[in-house]
Amino acid sequence: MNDTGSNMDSILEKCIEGDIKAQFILYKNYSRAMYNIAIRILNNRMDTEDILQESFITAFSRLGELKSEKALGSWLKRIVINNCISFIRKQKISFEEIEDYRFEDSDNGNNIDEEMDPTLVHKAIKELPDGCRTVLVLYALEDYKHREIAGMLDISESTSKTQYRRALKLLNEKLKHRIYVN
Amino acid sequence: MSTDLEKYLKKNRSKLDVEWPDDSSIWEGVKQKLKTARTGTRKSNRRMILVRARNIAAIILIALLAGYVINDLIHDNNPGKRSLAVIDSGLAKKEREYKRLIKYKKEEIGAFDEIDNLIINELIEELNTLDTIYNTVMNDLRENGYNEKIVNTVFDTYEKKIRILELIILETNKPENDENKKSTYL
Repeated sequence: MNDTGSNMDSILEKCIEGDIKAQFILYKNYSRAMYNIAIRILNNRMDTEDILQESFITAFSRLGELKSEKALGSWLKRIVINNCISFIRKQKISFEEIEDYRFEDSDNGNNIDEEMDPTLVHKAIKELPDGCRTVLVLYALEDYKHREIAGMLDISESTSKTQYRRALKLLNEKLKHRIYVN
Repeated sequence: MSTDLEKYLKKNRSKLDVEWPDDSSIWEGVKQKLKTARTGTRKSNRRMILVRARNIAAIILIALLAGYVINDLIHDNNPGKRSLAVIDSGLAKKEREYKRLIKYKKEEIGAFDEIDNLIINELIEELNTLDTIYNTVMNDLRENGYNEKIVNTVFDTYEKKIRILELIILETNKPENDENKKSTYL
């Protein structure tokens, strides 16, 4: 672990110095995670690739600001999420207020088979409508709070909560449908 | 066995990263952008260096000029401003007095060209020599700054000029010269 840590330290130092090989190593270590976050938010391959490139450029140029190597993963995630949010804000995606009662849990709740294939879940998430999908990804997968999401997306906290419940409901329906289809 | 969807998502978070990015094209883009950024930085660095060099040159020039002006104010080495008046107000007053006296005596004599007298002509020659000495001494003062010996020479020159001018006046006012003048008029 220490070796890995010191290796990463050395890679980071080289990245800061502009060593292209070290930068590629760092890219390879984190590109997949960053790509999956971005594509779940944006649901568009081209936009995701652009955001990923932009995020790595940002990361390499600001790597000197990183205080600890341990924080690298979450730091990179934050960069890619911020870039995605900036992008969708430019796209002016609508997060319209929706009546909360429409997304109350059914009798069975939003239950899912715990052995459900993650690939199916990932695909179902990508099929959700833009606004609620972003909230679901940020809240359920990236551990942001509704208050933070509201600030990021320039919406109210209650809208964030409503959108999240909507996303869960829609996702649950999609997954059930997939089970029937499959 | 079923579970709550929210719990499932949190529990299986890492398993949800099922897609693989097209590393070759994405990395190529990153590499190109990094290259462009570096070239841009290098260009802007070069521009910055030029701007800094220009600023440094300007600062050096200003410093030299300031030093020159300060040195001039302290040591009074500026040729354009050289005069005894700049050195000391007392000297200036004395110099003004000498100049005023010389001017007054020259006016009394009138135009030197009109005088046709051997002695006077010799005195005029003396005056011209004193003028040459005066100019040389003033040049020395311009080049070397304040020097008591030079200042004394300047005043000595003024005094000699005044004495010569007085001699010219005396020579001009001699009766034979008046007679000569009268005879020429007659």
